[in-house]
Amino acid sequence: MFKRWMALAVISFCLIFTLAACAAKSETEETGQAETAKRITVAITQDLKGGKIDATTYNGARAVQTAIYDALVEFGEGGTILPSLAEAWEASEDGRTYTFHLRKDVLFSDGSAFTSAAVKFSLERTVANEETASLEIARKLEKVETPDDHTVVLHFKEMAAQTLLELSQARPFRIMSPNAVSPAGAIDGEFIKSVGTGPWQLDSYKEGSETVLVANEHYWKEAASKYSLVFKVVTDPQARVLALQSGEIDIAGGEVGSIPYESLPLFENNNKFKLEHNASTMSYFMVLNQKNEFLTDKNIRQALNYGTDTSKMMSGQGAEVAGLFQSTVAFVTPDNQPSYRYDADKAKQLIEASGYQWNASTSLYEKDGKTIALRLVIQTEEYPEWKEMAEIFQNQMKTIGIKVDILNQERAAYYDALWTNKQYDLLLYRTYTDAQLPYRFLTSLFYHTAEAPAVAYQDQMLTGYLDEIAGTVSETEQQQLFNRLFERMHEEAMTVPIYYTKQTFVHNSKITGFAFGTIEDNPVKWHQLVIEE
Amino acid sequence: MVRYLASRLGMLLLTLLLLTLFVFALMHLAPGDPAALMLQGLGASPDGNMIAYYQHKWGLDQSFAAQYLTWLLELLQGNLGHSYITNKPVADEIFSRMGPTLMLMASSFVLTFLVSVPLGVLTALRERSLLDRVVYGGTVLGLSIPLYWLAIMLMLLFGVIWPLFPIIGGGSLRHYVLPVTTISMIQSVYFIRMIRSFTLESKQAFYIEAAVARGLRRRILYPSYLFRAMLIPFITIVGTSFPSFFGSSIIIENVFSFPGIGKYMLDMIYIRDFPVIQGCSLLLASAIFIVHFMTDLCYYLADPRVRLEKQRWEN
Amino acid sequence: MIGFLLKNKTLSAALLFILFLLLAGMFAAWLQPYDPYQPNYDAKLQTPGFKHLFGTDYLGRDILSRVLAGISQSVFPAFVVLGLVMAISLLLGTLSGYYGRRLDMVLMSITDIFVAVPNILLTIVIIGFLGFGMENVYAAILLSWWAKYVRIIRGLVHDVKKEPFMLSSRVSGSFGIVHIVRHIVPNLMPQVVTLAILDVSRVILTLSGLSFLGIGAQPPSPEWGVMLLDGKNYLQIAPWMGFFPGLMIFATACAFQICGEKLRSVFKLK
Repeated sequence: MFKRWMALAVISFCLIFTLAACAAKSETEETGQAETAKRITVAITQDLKGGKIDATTYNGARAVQTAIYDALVEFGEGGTILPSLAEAWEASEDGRTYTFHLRKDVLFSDGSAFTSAAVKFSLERTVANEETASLEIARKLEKVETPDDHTVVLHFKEMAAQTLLELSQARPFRIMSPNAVSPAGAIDGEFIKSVGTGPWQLDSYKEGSETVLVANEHYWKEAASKYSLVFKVVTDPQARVLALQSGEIDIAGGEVGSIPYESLPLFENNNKFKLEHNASTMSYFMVLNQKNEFLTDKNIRQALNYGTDTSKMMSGQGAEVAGLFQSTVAFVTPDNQPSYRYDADKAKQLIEASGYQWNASTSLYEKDGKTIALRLVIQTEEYPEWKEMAEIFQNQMKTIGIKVDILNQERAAYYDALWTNKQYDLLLYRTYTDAQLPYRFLTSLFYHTAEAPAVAYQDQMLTGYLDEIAGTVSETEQQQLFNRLFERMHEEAMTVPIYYTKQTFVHNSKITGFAFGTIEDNPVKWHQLVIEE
Repeated sequence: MVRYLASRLGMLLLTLLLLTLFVFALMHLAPGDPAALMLQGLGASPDGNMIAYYQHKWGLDQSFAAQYLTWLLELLQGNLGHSYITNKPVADEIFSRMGPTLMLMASSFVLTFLVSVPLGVLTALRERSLLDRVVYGGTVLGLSIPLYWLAIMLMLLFGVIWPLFPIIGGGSLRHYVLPVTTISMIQSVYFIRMIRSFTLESKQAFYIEAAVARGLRRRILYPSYLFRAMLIPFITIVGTSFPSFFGSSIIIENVFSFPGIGKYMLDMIYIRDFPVIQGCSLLLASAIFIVHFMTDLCYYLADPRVRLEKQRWEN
Repeated sequence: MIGFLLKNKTLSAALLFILFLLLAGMFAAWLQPYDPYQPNYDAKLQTPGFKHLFGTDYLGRDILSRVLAGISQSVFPAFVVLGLVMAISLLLGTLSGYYGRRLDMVLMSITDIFVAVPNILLTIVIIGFLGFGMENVYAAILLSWWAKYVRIIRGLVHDVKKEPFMLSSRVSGSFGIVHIVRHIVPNLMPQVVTLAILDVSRVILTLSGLSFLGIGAQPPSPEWGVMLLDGKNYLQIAPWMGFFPGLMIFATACAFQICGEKLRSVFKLK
């Protein structure tokens, strides 16, 4: 009996082992393909749907999309639009017709020529995708005309002032070859492989593990890379730090795979690593719930702003915060964004002006026996640094007699609070980036109608300005409208700006040729990186 | 035997039904809308129309009961549905990630087994010896160390300070070293404790004392008397260890960015990918069932007096 | 008693530690050299020294003060959670063990499921439903732990039922609730208490573990698990931030382990 049992045990162990060994072996074989070229490994936080990097969808990581596909136009500093696949373009006065003149020397990664047909195919395929329905081009595009191989004309049903900005984004309006789908050129064709004009092409993809890119030899703008580029999924921020130190990752940082700022001292003054800094367009701010009994009072909203000392955030890196948007954002000029300078006494005066009294035993302000207590909702899954900011803010509010309770929510519950159930008094959030700023960001958070109430602060005047901005293609008019809009946001204290982010990358010092890309979704010119021996 | 199989099968179906219903209910009632979360993840701002479109596409606009019934009916046709996020069949998503996790759990189990069985038995046979005291002290300490903390320490030690092993990802065999070591270290402590205590108990049995008194040689005494008697409790701890191994591997996969089913499950819970969560709970319940079934069979093989018809907790 | 303690040096050390811990937790407010919640931006990440015995954290808060303040949030709740778990399982376990039959069958089938699902997974699903926060973590632990104890207590009831005195009490006309309260529960108590004390360390580890995952205590709470989580981010820069709370968790868990083990050997519990 005993022997029989032993035999059974031995056999089952053997089975488990062989099964497991097979699984492990087949995996190592898969990774073997890209061994030919030297690899540059970049940390990335997630890569959902990375197997089907279709330029007309939201699949895959943005950094991977921008490495494979180019846009018609590029988003430059301060919101200027630069030529890319389109050399030049004209927009009609009424903003309904856009004509693009395409470059003639561009080839796709499969060697076929880049023509107006590809542009027509890509745009129409994107518009046909239900996911993109909320974008302006998708809503308003009437037809795409291709008078010749190198000219594309977009006709819109009504004025489409955001067209160039939307085209410049990481997705979903980048240009893909008609050969990427089967049957070739069919708008609703099945996606088979990524074929773009960017510096890279997809080599292999392992779900939840890594995406391997190899150089596109036909790249038109600059020389192609000699290396293969690997985006490796590392979810945990601390694990990214350790992986950089152990040499498993060559580059990490930015939005792609941020390095927690508290770990940066490990890499500073260390000749094995180099830090690269660049400006960013994103800022962190607090969304205020104006339905809250205390926050309906403008004095209290302003007091929150006066009472926040942003220079204490992120170990004193937050010194320059003035207004909601960074100076790198389009339409922001040095003097059109007024701000509340830190002044705790002024904050207290404002609170007292609203009839609140200081209660010496609790050290808090109160009216009719009710103390000012606010619930601050944050999440730390995507933005771990928010915890520290919330703690600093909580303490600063305590000094001006306002009680703040921090509630760190799971990501799902946090977004539910923001978008649907509004169970917050204060909520720490971030602005979008680059081409989505400021117009698209403002419309998605502050645009208020009776059917669709604004997500953040609801204000008729602000909504009116946004309508007017959408109704003009003249840049000077837009500038004036934005000036008034920023003034209004400041006057009403609709938000509490907290921190301006920066782009920081850390890389192994054996990697040289590091240069930032033009937008944060295409953060680094990966193809210019060189491994020094 | 037939009655046994029938009752087991009934139990399985009941368990599957209850567990999936429980998870389904909790997840649907929990805050967080899959459509809004997906759009947020894409970087597209969630506006009302888009959310409504997806909710309709995924059937989330129906009543809770209707949704669960639809899911059940689909399941009866062998269809687990498609992941909201990737739009791929749930079964494919799960099976592509199961290999590494099974490997991780199997290797940790084998290592735990190889470490704890000799140590547990030896310390019990040589009670109060130096070895016993050292191991006992070690287990007290071991039971007080949190798993995640141990994992991070090992990462720092063998990944950074003394870079012997890769600390993130999976794929090659070397990737398994640190995760397996961590799980085994924590699990062996528990195993050693249990094995030591029931070895001591078996050792005190009258028939062992009698055998020793008869002057039976150890070569015969241990395998044929002592170890034989220990089979039943041993099967119990092995059989019930599955949940804790799986639980450990969830944590470890997250710490080591290991591409397995545990990490996937957690990620999908966080973004409320309902079909995947359902598929995973179904899989988990079935795995638990299989383990229980095997345990029962092992009981029977080890001791034919065991009556399979009885539930495990009826004794 | 004193002689017994003197002979058992480890046990007396453990008991002494627990005593000090509980006293320190109760009088934390008087013992703290600094305000555990007040940031001091000029004294960030100070190494342990005379001014700050355990160093300071990323906001310049004194770690010693925070560790002391954390006792009431890391250790005391463990007793409450365990007490509740024990109360529930004592009730269900004795009922199930005493009355048996249908009730037993249903209860045991339910526990079957709860015992089989990994605790961590169950807790996370429940927390996803209830939301983050310490109270919700208590509820989640309660829900994922009760089943195991119900089964153990049920087993103990079965053992007690076999004792001869049970038969005699039955013969003398004691039935139902009276019987349970008078004869069964008192006989279970030593084992149940031992079980509870043995598991104090596990509850403390689980509570701090969940806080460490970021789903438990909310900032600026000085709960040890939260402090450990903060410490994890500063592992290589300010190791003391994680070391001291980690040491406290470890030492507390150890102390309760040792006491539990001793009780176990006294009561001859498996």
